[in-house]
Amino acid sequence: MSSTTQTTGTATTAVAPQQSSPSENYLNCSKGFLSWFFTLDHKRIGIMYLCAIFVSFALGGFFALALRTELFFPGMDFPAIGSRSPEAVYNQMFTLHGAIMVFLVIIPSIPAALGNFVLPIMLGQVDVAFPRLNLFSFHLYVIGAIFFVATLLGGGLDTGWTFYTPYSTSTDTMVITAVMGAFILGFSSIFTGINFMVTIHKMRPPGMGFFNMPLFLWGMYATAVIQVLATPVLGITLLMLAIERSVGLGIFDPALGGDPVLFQHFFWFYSHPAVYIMILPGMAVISEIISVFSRKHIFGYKFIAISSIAIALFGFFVWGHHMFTSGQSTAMSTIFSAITFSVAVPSAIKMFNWMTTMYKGEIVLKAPMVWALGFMWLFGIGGLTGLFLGTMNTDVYYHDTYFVVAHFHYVMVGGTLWAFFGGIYYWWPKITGKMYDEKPAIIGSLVALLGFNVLFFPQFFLGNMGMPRRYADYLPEFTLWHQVSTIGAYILLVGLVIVAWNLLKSLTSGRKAPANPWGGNTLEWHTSSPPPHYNFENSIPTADDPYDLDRWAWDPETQSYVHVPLTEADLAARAAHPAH
Amino acid sequence: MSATAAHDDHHGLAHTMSPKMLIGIWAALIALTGFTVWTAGLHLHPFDLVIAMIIATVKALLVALFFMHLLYDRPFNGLVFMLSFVFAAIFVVFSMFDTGNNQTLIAARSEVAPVVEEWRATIVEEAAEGDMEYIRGLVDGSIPFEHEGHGEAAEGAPEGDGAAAGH
Amino acid sequence: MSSTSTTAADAPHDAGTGHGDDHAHDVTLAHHFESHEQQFDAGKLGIWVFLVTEILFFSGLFCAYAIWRGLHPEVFIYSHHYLDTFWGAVNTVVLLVSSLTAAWAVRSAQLGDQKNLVRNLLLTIVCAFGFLGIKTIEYSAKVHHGTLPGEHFKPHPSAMVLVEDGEYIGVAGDLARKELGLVDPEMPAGLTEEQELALVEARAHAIELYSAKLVEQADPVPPSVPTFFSIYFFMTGLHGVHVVAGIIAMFWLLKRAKRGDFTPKYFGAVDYTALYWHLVDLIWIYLFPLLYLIS
Repeated sequence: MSSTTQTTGTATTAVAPQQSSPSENYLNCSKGFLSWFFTLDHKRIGIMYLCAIFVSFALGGFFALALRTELFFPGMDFPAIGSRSPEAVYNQMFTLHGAIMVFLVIIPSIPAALGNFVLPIMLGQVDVAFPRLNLFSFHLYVIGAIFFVATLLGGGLDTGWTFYTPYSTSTDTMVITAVMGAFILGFSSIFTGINFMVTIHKMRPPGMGFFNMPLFLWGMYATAVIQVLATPVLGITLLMLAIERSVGLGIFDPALGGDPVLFQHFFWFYSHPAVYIMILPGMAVISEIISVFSRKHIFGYKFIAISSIAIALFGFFVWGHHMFTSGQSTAMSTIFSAITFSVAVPSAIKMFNWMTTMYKGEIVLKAPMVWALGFMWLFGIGGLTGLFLGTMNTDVYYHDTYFVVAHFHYVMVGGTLWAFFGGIYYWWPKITGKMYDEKPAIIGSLVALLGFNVLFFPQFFLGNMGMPRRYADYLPEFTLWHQVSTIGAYILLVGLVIVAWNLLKSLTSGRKAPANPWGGNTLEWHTSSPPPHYNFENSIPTADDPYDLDRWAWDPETQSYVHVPLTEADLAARAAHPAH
Repeated sequence: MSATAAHDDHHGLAHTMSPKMLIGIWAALIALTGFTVWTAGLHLHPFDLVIAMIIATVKALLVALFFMHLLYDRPFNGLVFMLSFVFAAIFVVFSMFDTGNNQTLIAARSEVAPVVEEWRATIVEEAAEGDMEYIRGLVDGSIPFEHEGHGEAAEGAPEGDGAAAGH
Repeated sequence: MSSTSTTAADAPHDAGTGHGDDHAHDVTLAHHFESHEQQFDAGKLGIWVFLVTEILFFSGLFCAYAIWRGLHPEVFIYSHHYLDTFWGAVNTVVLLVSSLTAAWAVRSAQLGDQKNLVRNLLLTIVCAFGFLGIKTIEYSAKVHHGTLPGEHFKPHPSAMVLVEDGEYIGVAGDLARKELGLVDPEMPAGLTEEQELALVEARAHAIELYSAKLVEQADPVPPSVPTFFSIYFFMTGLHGVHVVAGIIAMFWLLKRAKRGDFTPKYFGAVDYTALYWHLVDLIWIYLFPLLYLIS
């Protein structure tokens, strides 16, 4: 039985499994729709998430392009649909763009898709702690997505993704369906969080303490903490909203003595930490890529690790900075504004450590690294413009302008999505067993980077000039920057099409991927590409320092990295300096 | 392991509670329930809430420590459980600090809600008839709003402009 | 939800999909765990983390409660007279009994005492149904009196709680009955069935009319009272949903216990479900004084 081999934990005592041949892997070990849709294999679940997220991304992206196209000229360019005015169509489009991108794409992107695939392998395990719960959480994701599609088909939604009362309790669009969708997706996220948290706690291999874990796992752990602590509050908030709307509870309705600002407290208690559910996994991926493609041990391991937890915890104390203009008391706004700046510290610690890792490293500019460098730039801009919004008095001016729109797109798209694509390129050979074509991959990434900046940088100017967000029309003086921004959107589309074509092409004509194409030392690079059904063919390699990249050397013959055994001198040097 | 080894010790995977302890804790819980009902009858305002909460917390601790085995469990599980109360407290306390701020507005709103509804309906109606002068007057206050009877409420009139949703 | 989380927590027959595995091994140990201890500990941490999410889930309602009670204490003092402390206390005792039997079920499972395990699970289920039954009595009284949440709060005059100068003086219908001499009215002899019905109706009508007069004389109802009922119904309703989920999980355990699935090495599911059940009890321990014992 192959699974017993993992108990030994060392290469020497492991016994080769009798049944599986090297050509058998998790992709071809069984066939048919049901063998995928009801699989308990974390790798297949991860891939199903990946596909579902791409479909949602395409849908959300379509709405975004429609919005940008409408905004190319002043005046209304949308047709009226049925009884809905063109403005109402615009409202529904930005709402569905936001709701789909947040709940169906960004939140599950890295943890549920890449995390599911990589996390158990990084731990040298056969699966996550609760495989059925993992599958259940994917099924919840599908059900939640169906609710969103029903919203889309059944009359739309025009509240914005934030569902603010009292508008959300009085509009005639499909609020309840959308809210139930988000509620279900919330539970999908919670169950993933529980699963990862327990897996990291209870299933680390021998020799892997918390401070020997790959930083990706630290990021996943911090994310899981937020998913577990914050998402339930979103659940109860949405449930209250749905019941408020259907039965008229009055908790948020001032006509019945309720408080609409309370809804915003409830909503942002989840949704601000949720911003870190989005960015922490991105940072986790970047920590892996930067080290591997600088061919250098990560700098400041402990600081990066602990800063993830710090971000997760600080994130719970700052939600009021979304409410400076909502009727929140000045005293609370001042407190929230002050605490907000503390979150900048752990984020900056990460940035500095990544840069120091690159310093004097042998930087290899392959696609994952290009995405990672794009991440650092875009996240830097997004983070620094966040300071304007965290400062109470400047926020009063910038609130609900395009400045906010540009800021959070720099963080969510420039941050999370860039890291997501970096991660996809990084683990693509491991997931599919195929190498992608390097040159178009880099071109795609650079075109997307260009398009993104042309798209969103002008929006900082628009915001500064006073262009409000969520408006279907604008004054003629805003025309220039709106047109530049729309052109950027299409450049970004071209970049993403190149990426999609590049990845799809590799599936049919890509070179077979070696086990370790990048020379990473985390455990997933110790198994074949793609991994066998039980993740490791013969034995679980002993876990040691995940960033000890000197143990891998480039072999031009096989076009891959091969393991270099430690020499006596290495061992002696290690004994003298037990650094990590 | 045999069934006779039923003592207050670790039995296999986890701690086993003895019947004596189980019934003892249960009796204490019942007694505390009686006690809290009795204290509520004494009308000890303003300490009644504090007393009720202290008793409830003692009961909760008994349930958590013994019925839920937290006293004998891995300390980390207890820490995790405690964490939930810490974060719930952050949530409740921060929100409580703030909401008092809106109460005067809310009281006014719930009192004048019907008038406001009528005001809004009138504007919508006048807008449909194209009487923009009247609306401007209503908004800047130069025309006093006579509520009750100024036209019927135009229910289901189309919602403002495209920016209406932009809260 | 609890049943799914516990199901997944101890997948015993989970051998992966389509992967032949003909070595004989312990069916109660899932293939991805190394030992029963690891399996048990993982499930235990999992259920504790799940309970954390439950606490935070309920915290939204406790938050609404705390804010409303802090800002409008008069509403809570007034409204709690609508709730029946007696049934609330009885329900507390019922839940405490079920907690005892749930804890005992865990003990029986740990000792491999299948007979007592089944017996205790059954008792827990009976208590849970008892709790729901009493809840139904309370809810139907509220529906009957029109004391429903939010915009549906339209109490009949006879069901109104009367307060004069801030002092509780009673329920309008009770006072009306007393003053009209209709506390325990006798039916005059020799009436036809139709006449009897008409008389009953007339008396009820008189009580309603007199109650309405009493309501007029008493202090006006504080404005946020409908919100109290929103919070009351939401809190107890959500708690009730958790009781129902617990019952489903207990039935699942009962089936497995009868089949003899649980051994001293494999009883995680019983332990985890009991933990969930204790949490349901724990939340009620706070709900009871917060809703029923306000003075």
